[in-house]
Amino acid sequence: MTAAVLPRPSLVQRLLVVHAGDDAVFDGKFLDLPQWFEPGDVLVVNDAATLPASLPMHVHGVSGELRLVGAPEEGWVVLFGPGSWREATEDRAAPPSVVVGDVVQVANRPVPVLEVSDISPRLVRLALTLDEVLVHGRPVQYSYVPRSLQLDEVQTPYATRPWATEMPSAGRVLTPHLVHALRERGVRVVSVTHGAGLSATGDAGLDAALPLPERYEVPQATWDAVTGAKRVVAVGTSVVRALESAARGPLAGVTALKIGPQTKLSVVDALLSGMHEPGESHFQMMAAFVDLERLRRAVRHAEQEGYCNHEFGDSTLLFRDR
Amino acid sequence: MQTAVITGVSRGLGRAIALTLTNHGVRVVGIARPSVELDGLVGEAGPLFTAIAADVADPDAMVRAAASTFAALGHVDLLVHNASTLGPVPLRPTLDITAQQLAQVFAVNVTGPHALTRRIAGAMALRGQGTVVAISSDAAVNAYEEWGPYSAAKASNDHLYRVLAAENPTVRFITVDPGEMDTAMHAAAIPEADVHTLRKPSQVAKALVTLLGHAETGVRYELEVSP
Repeated sequence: MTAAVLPRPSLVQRLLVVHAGDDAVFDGKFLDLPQWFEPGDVLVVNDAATLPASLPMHVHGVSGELRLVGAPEEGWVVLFGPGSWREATEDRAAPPSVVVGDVVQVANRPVPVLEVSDISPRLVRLALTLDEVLVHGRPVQYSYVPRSLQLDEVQTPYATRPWATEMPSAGRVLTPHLVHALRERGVRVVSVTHGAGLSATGDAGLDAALPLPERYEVPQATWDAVTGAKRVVAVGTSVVRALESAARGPLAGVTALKIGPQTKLSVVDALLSGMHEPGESHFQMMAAFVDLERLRRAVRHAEQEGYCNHEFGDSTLLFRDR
Repeated sequence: MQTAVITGVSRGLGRAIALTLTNHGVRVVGIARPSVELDGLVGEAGPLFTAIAADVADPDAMVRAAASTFAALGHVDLLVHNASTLGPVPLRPTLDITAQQLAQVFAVNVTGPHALTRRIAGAMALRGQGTVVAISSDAAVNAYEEWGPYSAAKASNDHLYRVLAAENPTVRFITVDPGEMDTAMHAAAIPEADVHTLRKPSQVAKALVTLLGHAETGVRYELEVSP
């Protein structure tokens, strides 16, 4: 599939609609999103703002980059070696290995390594603050994008607390105008906050472990709307993770839940997401909605029809059987 | 109203609005460039007040300030765009104003603030409620000699807010002319003014809070202040 390499307006956004019980797929426009829903449906968005989660770092004589995994105060980061975001993460040089007690210069401040993860030696815990991240960080960049992205370009229109380390991109084009149109149709639009984490690190061991545990918060009012809904539509995989975690545990906390083809969804009936291909963790989650064979056919159709993928790409709307 | 964000909070009207709101029990984030006055306000306003040091002319800084704001407040009920600049003083004829000087006035009064509006009002639209206020001026309506950049920027906001109001039915967008006030900005513009004829920022702040109780979206208000 071809990557959409820069932010695009909702006007040009395409929408591929797939139903679990139907071989046919539908090519639509994102602006026509409301027509797929009925009064009583509840659309749930992730209102997490995207942190400037990438900071310059220097350790053992090597200048590199660190990317936050979650909250700055928790301090888990992935270290990257020399080079820049213009190289694909899997082609980046590995960072020097560090041990507990080593000192990493982060934006010219010495920060000790507090912990090194068993998952990967590049996953370490430092003591950082939200303030210094907001001052010195910049958004995680993508090698397929021809220029550096600004923080404003990786936000959803309704973003609030800065919890995500990469953009919850499914809602990027869900403008206030569309939200209003959905409500006019009788669809409720409510929010959760979910700290969506890194999508890829280039480290095979680490990428296999993604998504790492992420913090989430489902407001009581949102949970009440969801439990009283005709159908629940998650805008983005992070919302599926938050709602299905809330169904299995507390309304707020940290979740390690992974969702794949075998997962029996208990809350979410439909998923609005980007275009994902076999091999991606997001594709695995999609298979909880629509079986793998039908998904693969939908991907082939999207390729033939020229849909675009990645953060600024087109959208998929999947309805599961109930 | 539980939470508010105010720009240009170090002095004058912005400071008075911050103090009025914290006195009403509202949690307030104040945005301003770093200064001794800002530090002083942190002590004076107490624990309901959080200061964010940032330049409103810088759109990227406003996006970062919005993130800090939501981290501190969770949600925002009221955004007051009070930060402003006259441009070069003493005031001078508009043909003596360079394009760069005009652009800087628009950066402080219009374009930088819009970066903050985008980030805050989008979340208001999702919640289905919220108020965004821009401080206007009679210079936005009347063509006073030597007030070109400032009046053009204020008139621009008046109209921008009417359009924002038309586009976003669930968020209130209003502009308010506070009248002539005894502030450092007024002294810079009209040094010879008799300060006894000028409104006190604290009076104006109280009147503004009262107005917010009933103001309608898309309207430009001229504030009435009881003596």
